[in-house]
Order: sequence, then structure tokens, then C-alpha cells
Amino acid sequence: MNSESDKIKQLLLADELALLQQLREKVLESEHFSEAVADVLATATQRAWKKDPAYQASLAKPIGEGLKTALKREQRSIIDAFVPVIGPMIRASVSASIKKLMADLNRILELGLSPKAIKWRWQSWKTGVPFAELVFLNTVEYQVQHAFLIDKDSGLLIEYAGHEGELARDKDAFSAMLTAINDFVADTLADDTGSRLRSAELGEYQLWIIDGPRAYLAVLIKGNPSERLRESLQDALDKIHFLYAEELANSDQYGQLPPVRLELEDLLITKNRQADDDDNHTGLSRQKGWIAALVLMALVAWGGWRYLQHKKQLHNLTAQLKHIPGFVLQDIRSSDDGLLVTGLKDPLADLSVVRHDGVKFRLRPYLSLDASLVQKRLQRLSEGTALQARLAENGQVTLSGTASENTLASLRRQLLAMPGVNAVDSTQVTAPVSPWQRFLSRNPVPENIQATMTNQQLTLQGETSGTQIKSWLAAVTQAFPDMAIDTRHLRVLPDKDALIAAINASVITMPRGTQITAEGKQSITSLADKLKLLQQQDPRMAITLTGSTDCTGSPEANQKLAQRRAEHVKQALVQHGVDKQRIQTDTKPCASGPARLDPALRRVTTKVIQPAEGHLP
Amino acid sequence: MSAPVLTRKICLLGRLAVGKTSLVRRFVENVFDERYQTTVGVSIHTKTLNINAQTIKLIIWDIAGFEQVAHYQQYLRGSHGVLWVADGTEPASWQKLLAIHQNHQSIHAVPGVCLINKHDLLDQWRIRNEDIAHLQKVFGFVLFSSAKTGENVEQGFTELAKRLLKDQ
Repeated sequence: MNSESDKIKQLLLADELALLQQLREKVLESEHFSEAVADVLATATQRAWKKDPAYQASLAKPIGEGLKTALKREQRSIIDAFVPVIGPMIRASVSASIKKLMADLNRILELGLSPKAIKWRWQSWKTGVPFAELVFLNTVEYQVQHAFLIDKDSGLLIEYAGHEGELARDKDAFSAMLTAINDFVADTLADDTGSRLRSAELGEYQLWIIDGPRAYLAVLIKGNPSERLRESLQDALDKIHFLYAEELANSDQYGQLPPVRLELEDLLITKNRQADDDDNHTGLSRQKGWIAALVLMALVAWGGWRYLQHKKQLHNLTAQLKHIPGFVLQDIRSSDDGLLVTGLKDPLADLSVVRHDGVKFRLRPYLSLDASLVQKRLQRLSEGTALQARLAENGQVTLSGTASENTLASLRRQLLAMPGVNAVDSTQVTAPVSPWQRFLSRNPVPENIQATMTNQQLTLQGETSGTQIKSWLAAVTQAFPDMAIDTRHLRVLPDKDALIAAINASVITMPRGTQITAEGKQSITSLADKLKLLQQQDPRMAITLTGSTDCTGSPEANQKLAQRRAEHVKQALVQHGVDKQRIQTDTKPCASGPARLDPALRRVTTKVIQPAEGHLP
Repeated sequence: MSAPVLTRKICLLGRLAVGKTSLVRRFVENVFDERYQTTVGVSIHTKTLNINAQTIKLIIWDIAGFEQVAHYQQYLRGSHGVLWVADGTEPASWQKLLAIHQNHQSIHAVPGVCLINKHDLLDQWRIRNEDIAHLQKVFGFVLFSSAKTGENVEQGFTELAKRLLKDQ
């Protein structure tokens, strides 16, 4: 059954079935379907755009979102793509500003010193109205100075263009208040047709309000605008609504719509007044004539100013050069590339103060006798010595400081050969002090010692105590570690205290009567030497010789024996060269005790008498 | 790059002499004047705040107090927020606010903060806890304030600004 019906279908609808199969493949296979859609996509989009506003609106959101995503991901590429678009917009804005500036400048230049301008200046002086104001009133028909685009409902400022700071310091407050006034007027005064405030006067300004569906335009105009301006403002507002409808609906973007601001800046126009009828036929040529005269005057003034500057520079340079020591100005003249100075220059003259662009020098050397330069030469010559040279007006050089004879003689010769120097006074120069002399001034040679320095060798002669010479030699060795010292002729004496101790310890024993043993004789010789040494160091020194006995025998005999023993030793000392005036005798016989032989008590002892305690002078 | 400045319109609503103008002057200029001056129509002030690194410029519409005529409606158009102002010593002031809120459904979508002003006049204070609870329920956020002492003035405006940013 089925096969029969299929056959019948095949017979009757073969072409249609084939077409259906083709269509099915096109629709169901994505690749074929994409190709089919691609063929008609452009045409279909254009038709839908024209026919269906809902289609336009539906595309706005995905395109906007797509752009946002692209901005995040491909910022650099998008910036590069937009530069060619935004660049010209920015340049156009800058160009418009420059054009306005040039127009203002042209107006002032055109006026210049024309009779009209002089007349207005006279009027300004008489009436107190600023000159610029009079120029504006007489030359400009009107000027749109501020343009506010304001949200109609909230009164928020959408964008602004104008001369910042001149008016409407708080533009947001101005926009809100204007909206409030507009609402108030519409609510209280207008009829049901929805009429709103159209214009108001603010001093010399006119405020025009151009109503739009979502936003309204408020412009401040100076002068007397024509109604044609209102038409062009209305056109501009309609254009803004058409191009930026979505932006106007989003209050988050208010204040951040540079393209809208550019549209508003285009509205800041200045309409100049036509030239007066009187001036029509001759005005242009007169203007040209005035401009030419002005240019000529400017050129003459510029030339004069340049000439005066040149003379002033020449005068200043001449005055500077004449005051430079060691420079003789011979000529100064203008050359192709500045000023050429010819003169004589001492090698020590300093021209750096006048060395600047535009001044060239042609110099010949000479020797100046200017006192400051001679003094400089003196300083150079005395460099490296301990001498100072001072030049007096009469050409006499006074030297001070220290110098050896050779150095001084050489310097004198050179000074006397120097031009500008007539005499040399060296009385204030002292010979240099050697280190050895400086040492001796601080460390004098001990008494009785003669120190001779020859070829770095020190020779010492004489007698002195060990203490004195030791400390002095230590100082010498410290100051001159490498010095050779010859002490062969130096005799070092025992110290005074040691001598006194030795003398006080001397004992001469006499075993029988006044008989002196060989040992006692040696003791007397040694004692005599020590006494003489002590008296050499201090002639006031003296001694007491005390004779002693043991207790055998009578006291009277012992007293006499003790005395004889002391006298005996005194005689022996005198024989050894000791001054007898410096010897006293005393006795210490046995006073009481066992009458037995005691050789240790048969003796003579000695004691030094110090000057303070002694009886002798 | 710093975030662009947002401009937002807020309106002060309240009965005559509840202290709307004094609150605005205290907030904007930090001054208080004992003398009472009636606002005619509306007066506009601006103040810029910085909240969480976002700069917001408030365009404050100080609308004249009202008795019967609902002249304020035209000024509310396009408003982003409302500061409801009542007088804690005058029951009619908060009753009027509640009536306006009830009669204007469109205003419910707009963020709001309610200030119960004149808190310095505690000896004349008449608002009850149940009134406050009701206002809290209707307006969402209520603060006692005093334009004279400055109490909660800045906080009230700042809270409203924060709500405007959340509502973005």
C-alpha cells in the first residue's frame, strides 16, 4: 500500500519533492543555512532598519554591550581606530578657538588708530565705559557666550560650553534654578497648551530657552540676536536629540559627553555688524592703508629699538673693557656677525666677564705693569715657599716669612728682574729653625753637658747624674729615632740620694785603738770619693763622723778613744782631698753595759748633714 | 583614573517651618540663623560629597513648605532622592509627610531619608515611639536631627547620597 502511494507521489510530485529535499538540506545543515542567510543578510538588515523602529531599538543594547566588551578587551586597538575620528574633532575645536582669537585680534588691529577707534576711545574716556565694551557694541551684532544643555525633568546640567569663569560660577545650580523657574512659570502662568518660558533679560545679556523633548537649551547672548538665530539653535537641539537620544536618557553620563559639548561649542557664534554705509565704498582701502601705515610704523619702531639696543650694548661693552686690568682697548666696531674688539692683552688679564655671543676679539700680547697684575706675578713666584710678597705703590716688594739664605737670594734676584719691581725688602724674613733647634728649645741639655750635632751624629761630653741624662736621652731617641749618639765622653754620676745612702752606710772598724785595717782604708778611700762626688753635686753637703767604743775600760778613756777615732778618720779623709770644713766629729762611747770585748762597737760611722738640718753654712 | 562625578537631584519635602532651609544651610554652609525666613518657590544649593571613592554632586532643591496646595509636585520631576523633613515638636508635620507619601505612588520608587528635626527642643518634643516606628516603616530610614546644633545633619544627607549610589 505504502509503496504504491509512494510511487504515485513520485509520479505526481517528483519536482516538488526534489525541491523540498533541497530546501530541507539548506535549512537543517548549518553550513548551508549560514551561506544562505549570508547571501541575504545585508539586504535584510537594511530593509528591517528602514521599516521597523523596534528593530533599531533592539540592536542598540547588544551593540552597546558589544562595544563595552570590546573596549575592555581591545582597548589599544579601539583607541588606534578612534584616533583618526577623534583627532579631527579635537583639531576642529582648537581651530575654532584660534579662529575666535584671531577674529578678536583682527578686530583690534583693524581698528588700530583709525578715526573711529580714536572717537570711541574719547567716548570711553568721557563716559567711563570700557573701550572693549564700546568696540563690542559698535562692531558686534550679537555673540552667543554660554550654552547650557539641561535635563528637562531633573534640571541637571547635561553639558555646557562657554567662557568658563565669566558667568554662572555654579553651572549646576544655575541649571536647576532655571528649570525651577521654568516649571514655576509654566505651572502658574501658562495655559494648557504647555507653553514655557522662551526668553529673559539679564543685564546686558539675553537668555534664550529652546525647548526640546528631553532636554532644553539655554543660551546667554550678548547683543541683539535675530530670530534666525533661534531657528538655528532649535535645529542644533533637534540634531542633538537625534544623535544622542540614548545618552540624554542616562543621567550617569551627564557632564561626560564630549561630542555633545562640541555640538554646543559650535553654537558659540559671533555675528559681526555690517560696515557702515559711509564706509562702504572706501572702507576696505582705508583699512588697508591703515594696516600698511601701522606695519610701517612698527617696522620703523623696531628698527629704532634695534639701533638703540646696539648703541647701548656698544656703550656697556666699552665701559666694561676699559675697566679690565691688563687690557688696552684699541678699537671696537660692528662686524658681520656681531662686534669685533681689537686690543692689547696681558696674559693674566681676565676677559671672561665680556666673553659672550656676538663679541669677537683680535688681541696682541703685552706686559702690563698694573699693580694688581704685578701682585699676581709676585704670588705666582713665591708659590711653594714660606714667603709672602707685598707690593707697595713705589714698586718696593716687602718679603715676610721664613726662608733659607739660598732661597731668599734666588727670589730676590728674580724679583729685581721683574718689571714693576724697584726694590726688595727682606728684613722681615727669618731663617728657618731646624728640628734639632726646636727640640732643644723644648728640651734643654742637662747642666754640665755639652751636646754637639754634626752630620746627624750627637756627641755628648761632661758629667751629669743618671736620672737627668736618662730622661733627656729618652726624649732625643723618641724625637730622632735614627740619630747616632756618641756617649764615650759622657760621665754618668750616681744620684745624690744613692750617694747619701752609701755614705750613711759607711763604717770604718778599728779593732784596736785607732788602728785602721786594710779593709778600713779601702772604706775611707771609697768614702772620700763619694763625699767629693756629693759635694760636686751640692757643695753645701757635709758629714758627721761618730767615733764609738765598747764598754771595756773607763768611761773617760772610752770618751777620749772615741774622739780620737773620729779625728783619725777625719784626717784620713782630708788627706784624700775632702774639704775639712765639711767634716764634723762626734762621739758615742759605751755609756753602760757589760765590760766585755765587742769589736763591732770599735768603729767610726758616718752621716750626711743635709743643708736644711746641718749646722755648717 | 578617578570615577567621573555623578550629579544627582534631591528634594526636601516638609511642612512650613519644619527647618528645611536651616538643614540645607547647615549642611552646605555650616551656619544656622535663628530668624525664620520663608522660602518662596524653591531655592537651589549644591554640595559635592565623596563616598567610597565616588564623587557625587548633590543638587539640592529646597522646596517651599506647604499647607494645602501641592505645588511641590512639579519640582519633584526627575528627582533622584527625597529628604523628608518633620518637626519633632509638631505632630501635623509628620502626619502631612505620611499623607503625601500615601497619595503619590510614583514617589515610592525614589530613595528617601526622613529627618525628625528640632531635636534640640527636647522640652517641647512630642513625637511618640509608635510614630517613629511608623515613619521608619514608611520611609525606611529615620534620624533625629537639629539644624541648630548640627546633630545628624551631615549624616542624613550622606545616608541619602549612599542610597542614591546603591540605587544606580
